[in-house]
Amino acid sequence: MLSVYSSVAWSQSAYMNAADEARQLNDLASRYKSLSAAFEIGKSAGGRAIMAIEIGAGDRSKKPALLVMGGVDPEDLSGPAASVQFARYLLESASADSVKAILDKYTVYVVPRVSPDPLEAYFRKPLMAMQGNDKKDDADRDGQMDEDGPSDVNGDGIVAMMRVIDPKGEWISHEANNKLMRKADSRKGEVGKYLLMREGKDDDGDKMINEDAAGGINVNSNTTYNPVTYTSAGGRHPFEAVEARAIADFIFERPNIIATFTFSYVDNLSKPWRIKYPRTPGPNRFTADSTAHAYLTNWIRPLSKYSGVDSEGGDLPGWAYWHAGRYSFAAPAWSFPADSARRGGANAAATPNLELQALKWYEANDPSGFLSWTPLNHPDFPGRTVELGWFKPFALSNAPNTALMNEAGNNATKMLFRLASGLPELDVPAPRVESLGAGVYRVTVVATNKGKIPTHSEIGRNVKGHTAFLIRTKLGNGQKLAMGSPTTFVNQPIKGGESYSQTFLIHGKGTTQFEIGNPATGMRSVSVNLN
Amino acid sequence: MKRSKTSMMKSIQFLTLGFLFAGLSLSAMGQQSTPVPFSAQMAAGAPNNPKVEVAWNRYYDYKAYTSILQNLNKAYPDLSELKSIGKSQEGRELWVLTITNEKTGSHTTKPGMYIAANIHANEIQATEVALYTAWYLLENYTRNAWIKELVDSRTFYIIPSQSPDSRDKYMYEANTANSPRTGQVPRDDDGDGLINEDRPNDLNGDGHITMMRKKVAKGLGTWKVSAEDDRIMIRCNADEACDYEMLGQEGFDMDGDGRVNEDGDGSYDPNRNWGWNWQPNYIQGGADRYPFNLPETKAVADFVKAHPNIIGGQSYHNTGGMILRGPGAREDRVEPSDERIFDFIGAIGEQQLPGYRYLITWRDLYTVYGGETDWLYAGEGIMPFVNELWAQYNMFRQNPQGGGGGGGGNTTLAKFDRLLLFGDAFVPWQEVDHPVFGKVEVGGTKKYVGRMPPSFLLEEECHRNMAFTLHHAWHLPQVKVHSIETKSLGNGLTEVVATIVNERSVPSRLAVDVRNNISRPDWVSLKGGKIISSGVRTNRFEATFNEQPGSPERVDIEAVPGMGTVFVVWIVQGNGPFEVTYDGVKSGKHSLKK
Repeated sequence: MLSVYSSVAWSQSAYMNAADEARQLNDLASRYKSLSAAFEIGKSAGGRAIMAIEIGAGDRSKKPALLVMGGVDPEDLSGPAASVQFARYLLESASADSVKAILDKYTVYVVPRVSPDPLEAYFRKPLMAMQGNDKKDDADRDGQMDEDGPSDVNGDGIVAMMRVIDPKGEWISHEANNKLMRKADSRKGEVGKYLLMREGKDDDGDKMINEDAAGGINVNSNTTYNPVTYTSAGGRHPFEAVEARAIADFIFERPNIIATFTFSYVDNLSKPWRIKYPRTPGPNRFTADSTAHAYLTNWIRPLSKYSGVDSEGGDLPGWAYWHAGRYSFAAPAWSFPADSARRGGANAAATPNLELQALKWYEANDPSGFLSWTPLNHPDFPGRTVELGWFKPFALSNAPNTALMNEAGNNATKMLFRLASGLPELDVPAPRVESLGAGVYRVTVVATNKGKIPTHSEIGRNVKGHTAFLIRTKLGNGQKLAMGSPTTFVNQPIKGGESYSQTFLIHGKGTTQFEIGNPATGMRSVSVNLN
Repeated sequence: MKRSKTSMMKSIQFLTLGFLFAGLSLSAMGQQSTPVPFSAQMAAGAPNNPKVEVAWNRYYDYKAYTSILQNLNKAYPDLSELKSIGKSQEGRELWVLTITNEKTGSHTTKPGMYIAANIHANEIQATEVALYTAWYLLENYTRNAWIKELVDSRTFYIIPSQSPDSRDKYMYEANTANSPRTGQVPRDDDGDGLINEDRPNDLNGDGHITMMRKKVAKGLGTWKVSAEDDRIMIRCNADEACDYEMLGQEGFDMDGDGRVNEDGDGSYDPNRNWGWNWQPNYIQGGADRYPFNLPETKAVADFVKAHPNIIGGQSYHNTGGMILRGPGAREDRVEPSDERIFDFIGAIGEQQLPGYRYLITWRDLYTVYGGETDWLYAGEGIMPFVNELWAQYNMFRQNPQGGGGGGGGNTTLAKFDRLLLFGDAFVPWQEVDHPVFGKVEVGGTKKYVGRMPPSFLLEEECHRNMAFTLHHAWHLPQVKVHSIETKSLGNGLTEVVATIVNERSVPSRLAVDVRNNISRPDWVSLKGGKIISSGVRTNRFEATFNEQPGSPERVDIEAVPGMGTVFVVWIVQGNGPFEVTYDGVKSGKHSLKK
């Protein structure tokens, strides 16, 4: 009964709030007990559960894993929806051969809503986008917290944008569509006409508008990767946000996670990273990672239908690679159609303006998505021309209806499924033995990665939290190593389709056992009889 | 190896009991408050009849320093408050002793001086310096006017150990002077999936991890015995044929992976784990996972964030006789006007601390990313120094000469040991059986030598460093409403001008704070009459002022400069009486009526 109920609930709206989503995940996990578990990895600043679901057969902590993260951006509802759709697909199609093959070999972790607080705003009246979690702060340093944020001045249930004709205004109407706004270009002799700000008024009588809004830290700008300093959304220091700490701990406690995919404004599929850390000594330190990342990006990019932009700093996708050592991929779960110029980057000038694309879509399909500019009698601007308008909050960054969200979810599922199918798969055949005489044997152990993602990242060896790829020799009674150490640390990642081989000189008859691997490949064990 | 595990265990237990006894006797003494023999003549400085008797010639473990803090708090309940701000990894309390006279204002309303010590657990005398500071402030409050004024007008937040777990490990387990620097959060240093599985081993069971050497045929070695002192090993010159090899610290391969001592306690550095300019392990060794992921750094950072009145800071470390200030990395910056104040206070320190030099971390020592004091400065607008305690200079009041170092010691230390410590600094070389290397010799400096003063210099070290920090605290802002002048403007309007003065050298908010809006501006408010407009006068002699657009009764000012003045102006309907109140987050409150 429960499952029927939740399926019905799902079909009614494209987006869920945190509580409904948690219910969905728990329901899913209880329907597929042997293949999944849903659990809380922490609580948000607002006290909401941050939920995870882990999917796979057998001991999930001992198998190569992909982590999918959604809901890292404060206005991204599509990421959580796509994440949940992927999780549902894996479980509801678990009996299909292609899915079963993945679930037998690998683990998939899904944290659909890393930062649940700001997304709750979508379900509240008035409708208003938030900058971050529910941590209170004194953004304008006046000794009060969150005392003057945007508000619904005209009482229409929506906090829109406000434009005010003012000699100091820097904004003018956009020539392509006069509903849109752009900054005047003084180099071309253009003169600004409007002040542009979010709908609001001076709530605390300090002659400033919206200077201290509710909404604290944006988790996706609160990491140590190119950290954002001295901003309200970036936090007082990196990893101040409890949500950022929760997801970091989750990752560090799971060394089997070799790759992550983050639904985010950050897009490293359209324009892959150059894996070169600016402060690293030597420019080629992580070249193996660089080629692996480029290869994997090319492999999944054709299935990624949406595009975002470069990192603005402090983001989780960048952090997941540079500071947590996992192969990290990121793209939005949904975006308004972009033409090919956006992907190639060859013709940057032709890059379509996101707002123009969005407005075109809303004008053709759903005019309620854009509020036309309407005059307002504003208490703080008596006798002045003030207009309210702009996209509805959340309308620019999310699939605008259920059908498009389902399509986005299907696209995401195909892409993530491909990524999961490329997790490392270690194959260790029986070692080759050569007798050198006098009871000395040369044993050659070969490990092949039949997956596409390398066994580990170069950078991963250098950050905290990774366990090395190693070969441990367990000698039988009376055997000893004629040379070398019983533990071999394999530094270079074994890329997809590549092999690593290591020779051991063993003195004495008996059975020698070799354990090979790391948490991200799982450990393989082979033994060889020397006689 | 001749010594069995049991005999090693026994010797460790013996050592443990010895230390416990010191702790117990101390706490028992404090609880009974037995009368101490009265000394007829005090020496200048400390009182001769303190309420809490502490011997400043030894080092205290967690239990002992906890009872010192408790005894001080019991003896001076009106001047101190003892609180735990959280627990360490192993569950020890992270103590903060707050010292101020609450009768002159609650601790949060006064400029705060943060004093933290022993973030590196092996740098143990840092704790004694912090404890001595607490003791000295409290025991001298009634008899020293300068101390009284400090305690009345400032708040001292004293954290005697930021790494209590490893402090006790240092004392109760075999270690060198350099270990453990880390905390006790379990970490797999070598990436083999096992945690702390191959720490150094105390081969001769003396509680010290010293060095291993092996005699080899002449010409096969790279070390030799010093001609000056046969306990000292010297690396050979390029043209010398030598007869010793150094084999590293005492230990063997406990996990059979072919490596020795590769995975001991922790492996991270708690002083690279802070939320400013943090860099990952491959750029900054020891950074660990992310800023404040460790329980101890998190608790301390939360405490600092909850006490925005803190403006002065001091972190005690060892070793080398340095008064350090940031930045820790070349690409980072200290605002020029803050730099001038750092330099001013640093110069005082160089006079107070013979053998110490005032230095800049990245330029004169090494690069530090994610250090505690950089976060205090850039993240919280606090002016911090790091004192690297114990200058080798103090052995003979001159900079040490001579080579060596193979056993952890040098020839100056060896001479100091012969002339003043009578052999207490060294473990003589002694033959032991090693499971891999065969017969080796074990010896070298003891763990309590090299990085910290001997008993008879410890009190001096405590006092001189405290004096530096107290002078720093003295120079923290002291802001007053100096005077209020009124002038009739006609039509029932009055111009009210308040002169706000900072009587000390540190500004009411550092330049880094003002530039980045770390704390709120200082507030100067007027009561009396209907306030029409207000602002800040730009110059004492001119009638112009920068008007503040909103809330005219409360004028926001960026800061009151060190030894500087700010003029705040109101235009008021009415002619008084007036009351002006200054309220700075980091510089206290003061009111004046006219």
